Amino acid sequence: MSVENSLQQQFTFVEKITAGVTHDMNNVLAVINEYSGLLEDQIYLAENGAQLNLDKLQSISERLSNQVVRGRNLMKSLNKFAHETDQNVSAFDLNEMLENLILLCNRFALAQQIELKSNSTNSKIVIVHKAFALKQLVFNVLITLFEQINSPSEILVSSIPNGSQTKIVIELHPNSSTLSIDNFSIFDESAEKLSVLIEYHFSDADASIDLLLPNNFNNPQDL
Amino acid sequence: MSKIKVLLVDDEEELVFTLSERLQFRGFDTDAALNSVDALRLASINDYDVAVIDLKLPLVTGQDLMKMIKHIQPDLKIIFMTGHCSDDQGRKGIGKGYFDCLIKPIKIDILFESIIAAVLSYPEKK
Repeated sequence: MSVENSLQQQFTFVEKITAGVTHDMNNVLAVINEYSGLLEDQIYLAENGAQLNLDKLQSISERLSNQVVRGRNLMKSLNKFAHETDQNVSAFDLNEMLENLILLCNRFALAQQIELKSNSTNSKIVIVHKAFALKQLVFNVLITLFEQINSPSEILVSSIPNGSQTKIVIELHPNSSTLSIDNFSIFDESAEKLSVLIEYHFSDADASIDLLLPNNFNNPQDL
Repeated sequence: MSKIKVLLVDDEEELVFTLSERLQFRGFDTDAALNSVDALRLASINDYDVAVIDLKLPLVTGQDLMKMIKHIQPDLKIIFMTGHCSDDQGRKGIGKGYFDCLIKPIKIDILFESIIAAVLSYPEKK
């Protein structure tokens, strides 16, 4: 892959993530806008002789707070993503990276009626790798998977430590779509560059994609 | 005089139900759908004056849903909601067949006026 192509793919990755998060943020603002309008309607009613419905006001207030939390989490994820574009090898928590990626990918999953969840434990799994490039690879695999799904499904993303080697497992339940490994072959080159081995397990009922990360704790310079 | 009947379609649940409540407060009769399947089911059993549809829906686009709904109710006026159709270039990308396109977050007064204008544009309802 040429440097130009590689850069183009990175731009596309950043563009998609940014578009998804800004779309979600716009929806957060739209919901807040409606709750604000609902409060104005309640005030109008009270000004015209109706009794203020305190339970309703309390409910609107809580729902407004929830939207603020949702917006704050989105912005935190985007901010974190913006600071992770470093191309160098570093030590990072794989679980935290996957949690962040899931939040950023959620818009694309929902568009295909997919519930995207993390299935990782709360414990840290610190690995030494190129965080941004690895995140880009997982994102591309997820998006390609989303595009092949045409019915409501659930996707679980987990990280599994396996001795000195760690793997990222993407599980699809149920597998009512016709998945083709050929659609994922475009990632072989970028996976190879990162010393990641991708294994596909597609059956009629379920499907999983395993990304086996390199045992590189002692040799990060090989990446 | 019967109320103006509006179908609202958006996968953002809190948005669509709050918008529905605010339009009811302003005298409209509303139904809300979170996806295209529910929207088509509602359109097949109810006569609507206007459908307000988000352009980005799960699995299908707002334009696709408009075409499917118009198979059931050919004259139904469609108002799109989106975050990205405020300029002429954005509107051209949506294609034809819709009455109006409003940018989110939507001002309720503007949506109200657009719905009224859509209803008034029916020859028999002038």
